[in-house]
Amino acid sequence: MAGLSVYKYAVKFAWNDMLSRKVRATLTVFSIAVGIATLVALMSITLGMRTQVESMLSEALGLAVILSGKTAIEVPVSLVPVVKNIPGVIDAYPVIEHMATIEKAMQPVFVRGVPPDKLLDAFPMLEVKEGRIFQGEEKAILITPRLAERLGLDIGDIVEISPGTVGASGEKYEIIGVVKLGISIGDFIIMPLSKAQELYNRPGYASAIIIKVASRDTIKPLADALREMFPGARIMEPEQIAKQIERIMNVINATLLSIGSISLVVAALSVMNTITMVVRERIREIGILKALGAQRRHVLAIFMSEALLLSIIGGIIGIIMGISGAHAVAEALVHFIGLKLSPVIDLLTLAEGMIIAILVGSIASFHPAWKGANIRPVEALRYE
Amino acid sequence: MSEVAIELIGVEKVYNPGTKSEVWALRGIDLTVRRGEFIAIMGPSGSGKTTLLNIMGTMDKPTRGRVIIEGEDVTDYPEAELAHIRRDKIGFVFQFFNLITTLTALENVMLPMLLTGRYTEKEAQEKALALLALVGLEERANHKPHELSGGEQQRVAIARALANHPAFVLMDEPTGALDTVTGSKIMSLCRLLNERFGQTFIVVTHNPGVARMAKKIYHIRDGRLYKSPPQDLLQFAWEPDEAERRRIMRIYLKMLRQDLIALRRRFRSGHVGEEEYRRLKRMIAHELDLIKRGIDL
Repeated sequence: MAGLSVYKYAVKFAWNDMLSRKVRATLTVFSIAVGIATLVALMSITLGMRTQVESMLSEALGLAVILSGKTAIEVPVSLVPVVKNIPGVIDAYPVIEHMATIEKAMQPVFVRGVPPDKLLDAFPMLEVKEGRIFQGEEKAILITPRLAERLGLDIGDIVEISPGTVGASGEKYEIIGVVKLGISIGDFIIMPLSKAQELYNRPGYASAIIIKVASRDTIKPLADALREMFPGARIMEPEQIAKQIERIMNVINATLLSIGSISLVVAALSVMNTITMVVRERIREIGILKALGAQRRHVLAIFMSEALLLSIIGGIIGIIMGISGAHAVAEALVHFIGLKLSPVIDLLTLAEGMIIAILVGSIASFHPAWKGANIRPVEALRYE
Repeated sequence: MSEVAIELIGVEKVYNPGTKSEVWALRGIDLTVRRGEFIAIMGPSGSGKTTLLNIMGTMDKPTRGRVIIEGEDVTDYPEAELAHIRRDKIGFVFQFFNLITTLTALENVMLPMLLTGRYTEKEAQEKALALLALVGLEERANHKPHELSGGEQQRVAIARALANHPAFVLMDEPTGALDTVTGSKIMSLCRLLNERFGQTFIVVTHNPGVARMAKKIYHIRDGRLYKSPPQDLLQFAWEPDEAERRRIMRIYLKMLRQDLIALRRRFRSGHVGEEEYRRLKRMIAHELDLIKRGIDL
């Protein structure tokens, strides 16, 4: 392959040129690396978020239709036997889901009121870390480990919980268990349904009724039937919820990626600037090469390979920075907003990062390199 | 193979034709260089020798006339084909050596061969080593240009120029950046290559010592080529007429007055002391006086 060896020297020329301007090369490499790192980190985080939401949805929703009111706690529990009689329904139970204030905590928490015998159905991933779960309708609560840790609460402590707004008089509850729920967004307090009704002073009412069905095929007709029976209620099917969340996820994804692409524009400008400078510095050498009989493509190869070398190194460093950045962001999320999220690093993301680095490098460098390759030999040699 | 290395027929070069800044760099050059010749083209700066060199090197195109290299009329060739002509038929040696600074001496000599695609890297390397040995630099093969002396760099450039057996080697002030001893060694090397191997050399220079090394000397003045040195130098004894003389004087007068205004301002703002001010003022006034006496205003 005699013809190819000239390109080997083009790469060598580019490599030596890069080494002769170490600071500039380093800065360019870093601007590419930062761009790629931002992109890789964002992609890994959104991918992690998506994976987590998907698994959460499948475990939390399962084969159920949720009937809820348009506002807080306004679904009469008396509807439960009615709903249970609909063909295809195997079970139905009311739940309360509402905000509350817990003493000492500044942020509001979610209260979930669940019939004690349906606890494991409502939280299929529930895992008792400490203490126990309810033995009937007792005035007791279960809390999530993070909440326990944050407020320094322990099994046996009595805490005061007030409904909704701050200042309303509360009730005292004993903590009997610390439980992991699998679903890890936010902090939860779980109490028996009847106690939640007492807390909010809404006896006989619930936020929603969870209606369990035997098979996936019955979900759709059941939901339609429910909509007809209770036009004032909101009927949610798992697929609908999934779709809604998917839509939100896509918006988040697009937003993050467009933020990320700004840093790519910066990287592209940096490469363009560097190659423009390189061409200007090497203009006399372009003249020499052309005098020696080099074709346009040979000169182009030199400058493009310098851009590619910068991009590849920048891409590799960027990918490494991106992976560690994603983990750092995940940790920060846990620390500051209690969102547990593990970024998903897959090969496709890394490959995309690398390909984007190379694309950005070659697109940004093409114009200055092309201009350099097209300088007439006389002009190039005249340049001092 | 043609007997003639390069032939120029009626070559003219006009820069910016048809505009106010039109410049006639070459006015009808006819030149034939046979194989095995060693010619020098001598001329001062501005004589058109660089333009002539660029046209002979196919790096620039003539406005009129033909450029024929080894019997091949290359005048209207597109740039890509001219690159092939340069690669295969012309060896360049420049004043400032012009090696590729990021490559070693060996790699610089290999480059023209690799550009042809006719050599493998190994073959090019072996031949480049032989060429470096020819110019006495085999031991410096792996040095970068900045590690070599000027004379050594110029010898690498000669080795590079010879790499593809060119029809002729074109040298532009080859000793211009060298001391006289090194310069004469370089020229002797070229002379030797010419006498022993019949290599054709065309040297463009303003240095009579360099030109004397050639077997034939041409002189270039104002874009024309002469076989003997023209006796013309500065034949224009420009005598301004009275009107022109007055115009120049008046401009000079205006300049002095402007100086005076600036001096007064600086004196008033306290930047110049009184003594200094008077001294400068006297000087300017004296000069003004001389000029006023010179022209009848």
